[in-house]
Amino acid sequence: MSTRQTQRIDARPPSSGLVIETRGVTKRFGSHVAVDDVDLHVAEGARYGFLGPNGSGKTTMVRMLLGLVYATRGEITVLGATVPHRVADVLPEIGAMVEGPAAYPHLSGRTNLALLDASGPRRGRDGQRRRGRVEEVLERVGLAAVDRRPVRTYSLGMRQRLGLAGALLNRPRLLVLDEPTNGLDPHGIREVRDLLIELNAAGTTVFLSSHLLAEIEALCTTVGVVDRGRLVLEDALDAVRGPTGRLVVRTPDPDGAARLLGRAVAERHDHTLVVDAAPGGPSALARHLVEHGVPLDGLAEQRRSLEDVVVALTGPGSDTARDRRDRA
Amino acid sequence: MVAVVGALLVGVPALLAARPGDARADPQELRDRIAASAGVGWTGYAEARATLGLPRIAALADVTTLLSGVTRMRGWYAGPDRARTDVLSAVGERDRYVTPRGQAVWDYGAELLTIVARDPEVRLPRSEDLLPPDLARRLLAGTAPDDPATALPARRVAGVDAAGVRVTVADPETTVDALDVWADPATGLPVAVEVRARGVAEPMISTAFGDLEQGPPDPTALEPRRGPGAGVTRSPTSDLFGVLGRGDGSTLPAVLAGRERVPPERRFPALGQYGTTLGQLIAVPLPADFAATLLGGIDRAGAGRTLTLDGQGSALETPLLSLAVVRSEDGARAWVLAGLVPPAALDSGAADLLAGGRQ
Amino acid sequence: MIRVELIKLAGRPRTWVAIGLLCLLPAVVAVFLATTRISPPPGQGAAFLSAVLQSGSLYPAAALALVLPIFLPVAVAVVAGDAVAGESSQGTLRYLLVRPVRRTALLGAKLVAIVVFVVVAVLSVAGTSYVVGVSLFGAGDPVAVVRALPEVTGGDDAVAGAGSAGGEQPASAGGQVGGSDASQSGARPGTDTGDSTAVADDQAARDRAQSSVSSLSGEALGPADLAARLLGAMGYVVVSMLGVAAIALFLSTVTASSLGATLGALAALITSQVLVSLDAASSVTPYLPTRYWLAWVDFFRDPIFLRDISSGLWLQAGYVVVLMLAAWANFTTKDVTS
Repeated sequence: MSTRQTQRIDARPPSSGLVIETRGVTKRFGSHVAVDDVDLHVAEGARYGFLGPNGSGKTTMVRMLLGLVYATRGEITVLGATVPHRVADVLPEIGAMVEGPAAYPHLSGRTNLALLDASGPRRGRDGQRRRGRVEEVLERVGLAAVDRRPVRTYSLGMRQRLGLAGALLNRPRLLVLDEPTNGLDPHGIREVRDLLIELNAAGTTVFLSSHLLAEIEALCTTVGVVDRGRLVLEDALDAVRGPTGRLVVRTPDPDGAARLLGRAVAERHDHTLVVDAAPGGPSALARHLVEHGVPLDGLAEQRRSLEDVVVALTGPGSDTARDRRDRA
Repeated sequence: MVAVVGALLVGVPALLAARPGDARADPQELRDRIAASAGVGWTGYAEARATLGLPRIAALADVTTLLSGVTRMRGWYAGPDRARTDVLSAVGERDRYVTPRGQAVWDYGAELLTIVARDPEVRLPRSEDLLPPDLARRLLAGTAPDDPATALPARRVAGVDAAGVRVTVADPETTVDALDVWADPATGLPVAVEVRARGVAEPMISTAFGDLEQGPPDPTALEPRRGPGAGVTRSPTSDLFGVLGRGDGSTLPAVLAGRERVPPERRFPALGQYGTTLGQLIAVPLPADFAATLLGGIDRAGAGRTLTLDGQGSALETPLLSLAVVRSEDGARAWVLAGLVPPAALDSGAADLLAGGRQ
Repeated sequence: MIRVELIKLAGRPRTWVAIGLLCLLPAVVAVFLATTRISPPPGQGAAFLSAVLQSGSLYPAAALALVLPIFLPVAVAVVAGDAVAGESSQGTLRYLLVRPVRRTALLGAKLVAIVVFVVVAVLSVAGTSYVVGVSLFGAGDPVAVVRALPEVTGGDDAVAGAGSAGGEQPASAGGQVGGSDASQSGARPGTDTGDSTAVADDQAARDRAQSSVSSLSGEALGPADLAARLLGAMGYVVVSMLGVAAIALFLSTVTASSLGATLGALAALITSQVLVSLDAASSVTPYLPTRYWLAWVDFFRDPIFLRDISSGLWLQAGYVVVLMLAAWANFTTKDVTS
């Protein structure tokens, strides 16, 4: 089994460098189009944020990537294997959490993990190694201390951690996580984020779907935005949040600055002015202002926020924007 | 694909079972062979379905259930005096062993082996009578030699490619319209029988083997046995008529509904058998209390026809079998009267009984 | 995977409650029978129930007859109906599938687990009812048996009269035939206990007592024969339950509700039981899953009557093949959205 896998990994064309690639993926449930013509590209080593409001088709897409739901149309390749036909070959290298955690409520978390581990394809590991693996992932998600209590008595946060532990059991090359921080307190969210960054640094590609802008913004390097089943944006987060070409000027004398800069001022809020960039960039503008006796408190390039982009793409009033405001 | 597999699994056995036979035999010759087949040994399983629709009469429950339902039987048959028939039920069985020395009946439910000295020739119908060979031979014996025999399409019964013969009964004095018998053309052993009554499209009784192996049965199966802890009892007879027949036969007239009385069997003077064909009538005197029980039972079943007579009479009639209980005005004399006869024969027979007794 | 499914099944309290209840019913019936000594009239009630008063070693058969019509199929339908639908509604199905567990393998493992459940249930019922039967009714009370066999055992049954107080066998007709033998020898055992002939007689009586069970056809069954027939009957009962299991398992792949699958399977069974007893439905009767359920009784006939047993085996095999194919076809092409 292990040799076969090694061979297969070696045999995979390295050229694409993509861990997940989909072309024209569409899923219909009856007359309802849940996912519409989606092309995803997730690079090896990326932390990919799959962002979209609730009901936009994120979970269906995640399920299709894992071979749980079959696409009506389109092609899916995950870790070089076509989905769903060859997905079983690569699933051992994928850790997944789909639409919330699930476990047998009458068993303890440890037993649940042991059963989950044992259901997977055997890879010549003995029971000792297995137990070790379970302990290791429990430790990683901060559940090492809990014991014997049936999962039935777990809080939502603990279940979430258990689900994450299950996803980590394989030491996956690819983590597919659907709303992994649901139900966690801010402290827990921070822990999970740190854990994912750590795993990513060690080489794991992370595909994370969420309806929370802040979460994606804080964690991801690449973002794909889905709205009503369509992928409306897919780009590096840095590129998305690129400079707008304007400068933000903070000054104790906004009137003086406004007079001096005239038409270049695009917006003005109290002591802050947003100014169209002039030739010469920030330093030229600073010199210009100071030379004309306008004192400066601060001067920075204006960057787009992810929210601005998403709202612009999906239109106001969507869940995404509201959530962002709620959290602020 | 699943549907195809399902259809195959259901269809193939059904088609195999429905595959017509291709045996051919001259009907008259087959009829003769059947009549002479009493020496053919066999081991098998048969199911008989009778749809006479008799109401359940407590005192005659064995007969009424037998003639209105399905009877499952296993049989081992070496000859007329060497046979065993197991009547199977879901929770037990009742086995009758016929040996040259007499009969033995093992009843699992009662945990009792009854050793029977002798049953009369004229007796109540019982399950074993519905085995295809027994039924065919018994009923064919009652047909007239000139009743026409015609060929029926062959049938496959329990692995036997059986040729069919229909004997149409001309005698208007019986309700039996035709006997359809399928038999192994080689040995003449009947493997399926259908009894048709006049005016009824479906056969009233149909019986057929499900499993059959011809040849002498395993002799060890023919030895009566009794479970440990079970009782043994000896009984002069296992049939109601065997008890009633020992009574006084003086109230039986010599002629009943135009049928002459057959000389009674020794030791059973009170069994009146009138005629030897299918239209024969059986009359047996009843003790007064038993007659009252039967009359009450027929009344309670609500299916009886009250006979218009000098005395009292109730008849249970089916398209095939009719049965009447007749009692004189003073209640001193009573009879049961039965036969595969139309209602008119029953009426006139009942009148003759009452009149004969008075003489 | 099969091991995991078995661990899961064994880890559920419900599994053991079901088996416990299955064992409890025959035990309750046995207690009532033993205290009242009122057996159902011959030919009525469950099979073998009247015979167990004589020998408890037949009680496993009576227990099978008690649980077969309702309790056992209900338990099987509950377990099988929950097999996939339960995982689905709990959400654990998706985690199993991405583990990955191939869907076909999962279905197969579920079926095996259900079969093991049925086997364990039937074995438990038979085992507990044997213990209950023998402790309440005795393994064929020697006194009762020997007294009932006077003319067979003749005069050599020194032990026969020894404990006549224990004999509950009603004075049967057979008792009259050779009853004098037993009463004559009844005076002896008090005087020559311990001598070798008494020991030998003791042994002989015990041997007779052990084969104190009769087949439906009246053949005496020795312990080995009885055990073999019981095993056959138990095996047949297990196979009889496979049809129910397959129906429930198939429905379990169709719906996400365990209860729905269980009730669906039970509805199918009840329909089948109604139709089996309906003469008008005789054209479909041979294909109904419950048609040959009672054929296990045929193991206790002499010679063993195999016709219905083999029909039943084929029928159940047909149900398992068709429904498992349907379940497989449905399950492997199904979107797992729960």
